[in-house]
Amino acid sequence: MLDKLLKNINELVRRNSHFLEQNPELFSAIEDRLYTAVLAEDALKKAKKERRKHEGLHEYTSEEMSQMQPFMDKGFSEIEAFELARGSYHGLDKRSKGYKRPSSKGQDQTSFILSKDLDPAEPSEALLNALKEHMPSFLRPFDKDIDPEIAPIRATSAGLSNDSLKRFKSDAENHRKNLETSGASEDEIEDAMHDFKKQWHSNPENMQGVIGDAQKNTKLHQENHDKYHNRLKEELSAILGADVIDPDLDTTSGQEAIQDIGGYSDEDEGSYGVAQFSTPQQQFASDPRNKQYIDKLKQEHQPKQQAEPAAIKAPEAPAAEMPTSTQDDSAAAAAPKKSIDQHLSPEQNTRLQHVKTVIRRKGVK
Amino acid sequence: MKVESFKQVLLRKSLSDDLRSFISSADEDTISNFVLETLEKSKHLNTNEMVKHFGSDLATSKKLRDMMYDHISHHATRYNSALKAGNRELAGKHASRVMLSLFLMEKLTKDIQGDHTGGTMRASFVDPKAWERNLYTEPKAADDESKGSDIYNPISYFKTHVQGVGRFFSDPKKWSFLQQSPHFSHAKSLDDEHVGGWPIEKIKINDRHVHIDDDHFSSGEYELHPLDEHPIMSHSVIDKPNKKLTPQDVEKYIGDSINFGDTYISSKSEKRYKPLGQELGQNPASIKTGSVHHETTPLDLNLHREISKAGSMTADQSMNALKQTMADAANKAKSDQNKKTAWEAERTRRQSNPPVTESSDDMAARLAALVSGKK
Repeated sequence: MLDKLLKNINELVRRNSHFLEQNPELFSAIEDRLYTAVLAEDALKKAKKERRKHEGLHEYTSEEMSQMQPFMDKGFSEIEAFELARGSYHGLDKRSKGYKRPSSKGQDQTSFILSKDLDPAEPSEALLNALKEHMPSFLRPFDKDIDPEIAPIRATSAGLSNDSLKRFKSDAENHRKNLETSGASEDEIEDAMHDFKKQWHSNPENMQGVIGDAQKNTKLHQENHDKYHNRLKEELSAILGADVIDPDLDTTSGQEAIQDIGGYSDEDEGSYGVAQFSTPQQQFASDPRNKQYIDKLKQEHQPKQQAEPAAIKAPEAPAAEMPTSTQDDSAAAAAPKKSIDQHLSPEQNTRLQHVKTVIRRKGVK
Repeated sequence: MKVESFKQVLLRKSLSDDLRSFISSADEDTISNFVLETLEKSKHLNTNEMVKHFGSDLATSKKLRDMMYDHISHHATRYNSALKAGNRELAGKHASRVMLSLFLMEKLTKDIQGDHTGGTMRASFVDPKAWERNLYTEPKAADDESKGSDIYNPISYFKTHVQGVGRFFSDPKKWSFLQQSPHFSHAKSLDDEHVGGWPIEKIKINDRHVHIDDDHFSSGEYELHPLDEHPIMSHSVIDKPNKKLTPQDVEKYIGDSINFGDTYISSKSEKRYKPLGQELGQNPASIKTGSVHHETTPLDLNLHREISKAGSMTADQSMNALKQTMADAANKAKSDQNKKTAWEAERTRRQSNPPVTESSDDMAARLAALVSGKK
């Protein structure tokens, strides 16, 4: 390639020597062009060497091949199978050490273009699947254990049903492939595909599948959306109804707080998992920096909050019976939650809610 | 390099104590779920059933893919010509259609569930959020003095979040922010090239630049593209939330899309669509046209990067900025009027004697005459 270029330049210079003498700046342009050409030649040689190192054609012996074959059957590429057969996978490390990612800035253009060919071989699907097990859970796209209260969009997308659409796509692809192999022109294919779409959707079974999927998906979206907003409402009420405590003076422990409400401690004391009694909501409410925001929240949501205490006070009437029936342990065991709730003052009730939320968040049982 | 855990990074970067206590107590999974959820919401990536069906149509029909490309180039050329005629309202209307199809492309290709077009379509463009920010730069009420009147105070200025391509305006005139320079608050993230108006000519569909016909003369009327009759092409359909979608909506959409195919794709109908490439006899616009917004005064990136380092503007700088914005507004109004008068004169001239297309022989003769005259 370089020889050809030199010959061409020689001829050009010979022919246009008179013109070049008049315009000396052209010499520098030619010089530049030559310089880049030489660089390109060098880079090509390097590239060939490196390629031979990484992906190059290392001839495997028959023993090696026999060891590699089971991995190749699973879908691994040759290099991967070679590395796996040796018992340890170093391939990626080796490549990543020697390989520098090309960037358009601060690099010669020719070397940048050539280095694109130097990309290490893409990992096979089998390798990617094998690596997925070692992936941290937060990087996995569809984890089925996602809590819809926190992430409704991700939770729904894990459970959506798209079977009918998938079936349509695969059917259409097969139809198109058949048409292409039969040698039809593009316009004919377009026509035929449009007719196929009509036919497919005119079939009542297919259409029922489409509509059924849509119904299921909207239901799932609605449910998860509701769960998410209910959680928000709960937390809002917890923040607005929280006792504002000065954080410097608050020294009550989790056990004391629960005993205040009427709870009892387990034998192993660590089971509460709370060092200091202050829920996140209470901490948020008692922070002076959030005062402005909480006032705004109260303005928006207070009318709803005022209605709720009346609803709680209403079932206080049966509370009079409880102290008299002191010995009835079986009845208390049958409905322990209700009895505790009824006997509490509104302040204690809110505290109980905080404890419940803490327990739920921390996963304490 | 040792990889830090996600939690450590967040702890290092969080400023408030509340956040720090929350992060230290919560699981990594819950934090990542929160973060990913907000990221997905910010990108509007929650496509509905109808968009998914349209994606399957795109995967099977090449004509529809060509139509998609032509739709953007049709409205982009008319946007350009309307700006030349000084008609910002018409330009806004066409810009809204361009944005709509880009929004559709985002929904199709960048969904959480993957690409719905089966890898047959991809779009690349410069995000218009930095330009959209110009809409929300009004200061708050004067009585709110506690927050200060410094324009670099984000609390006093940034009331709402920007939506980029997914934004819908009932008033098309609002799209005129595309003709301004981007907002200075994005100076850190902006490319050095993108300091003028929004680079509409940099839109690429399937690695092909959009075709903007620079010689197009605006008719002064809002001309729609055939694809605009497709049932998907409205903001209410593309952005319909999944929880409000009824099966009747999906059924109606499928029926309408089949009717659309009967008129524009089937060879039996007279209205059958011919792609732009076929009419021109070649592959259109593999090379980008010149800048559409070449008149806007570019943003001084270096100045704003210095200011953001210092934390606030000096008095001189703020005065200069104010003067420049005033001068820009006055220039705009003047140039618009001049353009309008020129456009009307041109239109009357064209109506009286319509332009004659030059034959190739005439052209050759004219060129020969020119060359000989020069010598």
